[in-house]
Amino acid sequence: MGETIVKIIVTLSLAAAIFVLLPASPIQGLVSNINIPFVHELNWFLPITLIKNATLTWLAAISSYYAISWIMRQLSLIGN
Amino acid sequence: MVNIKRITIVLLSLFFAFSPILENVDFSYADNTEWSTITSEAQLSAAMKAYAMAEYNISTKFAQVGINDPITNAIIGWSYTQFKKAADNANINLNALQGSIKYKVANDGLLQFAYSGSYIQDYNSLIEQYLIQNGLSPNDIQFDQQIYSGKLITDDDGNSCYVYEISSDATLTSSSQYKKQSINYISKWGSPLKYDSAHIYNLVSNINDSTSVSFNFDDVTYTTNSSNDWATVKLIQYTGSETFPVITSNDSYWAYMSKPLNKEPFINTNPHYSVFHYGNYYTLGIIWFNVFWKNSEPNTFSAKLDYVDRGAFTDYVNNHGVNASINIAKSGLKNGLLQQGKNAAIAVGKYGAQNAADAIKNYIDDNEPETPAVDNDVDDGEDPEYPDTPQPPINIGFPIGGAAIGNGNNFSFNFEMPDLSQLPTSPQSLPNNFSLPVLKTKFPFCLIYDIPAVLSLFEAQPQAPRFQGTIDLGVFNYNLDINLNYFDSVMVYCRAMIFILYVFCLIFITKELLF
Repeated sequence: MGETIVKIIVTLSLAAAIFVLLPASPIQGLVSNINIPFVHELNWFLPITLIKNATLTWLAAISSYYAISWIMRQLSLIGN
Repeated sequence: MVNIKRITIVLLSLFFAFSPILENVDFSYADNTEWSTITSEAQLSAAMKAYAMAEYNISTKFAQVGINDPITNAIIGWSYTQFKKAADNANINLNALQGSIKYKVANDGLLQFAYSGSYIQDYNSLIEQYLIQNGLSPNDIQFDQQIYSGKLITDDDGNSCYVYEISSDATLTSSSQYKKQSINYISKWGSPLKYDSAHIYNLVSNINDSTSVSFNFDDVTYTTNSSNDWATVKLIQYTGSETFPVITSNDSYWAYMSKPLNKEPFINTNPHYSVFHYGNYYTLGIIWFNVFWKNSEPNTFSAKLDYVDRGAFTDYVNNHGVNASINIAKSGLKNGLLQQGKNAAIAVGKYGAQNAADAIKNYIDDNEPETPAVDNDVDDGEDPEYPDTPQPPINIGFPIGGAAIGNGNNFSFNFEMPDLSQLPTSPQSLPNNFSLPVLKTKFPFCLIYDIPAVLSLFEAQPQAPRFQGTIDLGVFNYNLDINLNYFDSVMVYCRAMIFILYVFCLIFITKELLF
């Protein structure tokens, strides 16, 4: 029992250490410095905000689908 | 045949996708970011000002009635540590926040005497002491929170506080020679409360100048540009029939904006609630603020700080703080404000002119390392450390234009009242801390958060294209200017249709993908 706890602690510590070493997001730094020309005019033609929100929500739904179906396959609730 | 299990899975997926749980994970990415920034800034600024003001105004007054609990122990729920934490969370430069602009001095002075503040410390015991010593019952203090429309804010530690909405501004200008000297400034003030009336008393019997007064209330602007036309804006010319003991001078303007408590009529005859008086011989200021108790009804204090400059313009230090009082507002009390210590013989602390923003900054700088967060919930038997009351007390809330003070006593006031009207109206929209912030920034876990960030690049306020140019026709130049904003109203529907089309596309893609 004690050995198991030590293993868990060591594992978590190792994971935390590795996590600290992970690099920062390369994309978000770039995004903050990008100005797209004519973006206002683009939004005049297309409902970008709505499309973005719908897309993200749809992606969440699809991801959830695959996640849940994977879990259910593991539990043999559904077939392949 | 449609697979029932797959349909079930899809429905479950949609449920989770649209559920608040997943929304809080960060699918409402942009909204949450914006919300937290505005709220933190407003909350921080408001609370910080109230902190300084309470420190300055109440501690000495409470000492007069035998309550020696330092104000930093007794009233302030937001320690500097908490301010700093809120500032850091919102990426706000704390020092830069002080002294920014909305109420900045224009030329020779700007007055801003109302503050909004929120405290999260329960200091009922202090108030009870105060009331009992004055023969009052603490049970008399009841407030209808709805009237105040306070916004419930919860910080990262789960502490609750209320923040008022700033909804009113007023400007007072004048064109006469005298008033150019004395009130040729812009005085703006915001109030955490919503006024129901405003009063400008012109003590000059013959008004020949054109005086413009405008008050911006919640959704109505009252304006007058003619002399003696006060009624237009619910303003009342002083006729001498009303008695205000501290005002005996001519050539003075005395103004106050009133906000009733529970809509009781007393406020119109009570000049002690929120007052500005400016003139050659007397300058009187009363500042007031609002205190909210954690898990309790909000309460209101108004601290009256008189500055009686008896014509010399140089004796500000010695004449400051005469007739100081603290008013505890009680709802349900027909007499209106309960005025304690009115016309007290003992003055509130006397102090010299000092730049308010610098005073606050110095105060915070001096106390930063020693100020721990206030622990409201755990009684460990040890009193937390708090910063000592600064000496001299912070000069805040009572700024007077330099021209009137004169003789080296020039000082300005450049505090900003945050626009709390931008606060979200629904406390339920508080973003919680469900998501792990560090995941947003560490590769590769950040990728899921990068998607909305990239898509947000394309978000902007719609603006109709406009083509401008010059065509050289040889004989003359033709200026071309085609602005498609003529189709703005049509494009609203076009965008809606495009969105519907897009949703249908998603549906068909989903069908191809899953079935």
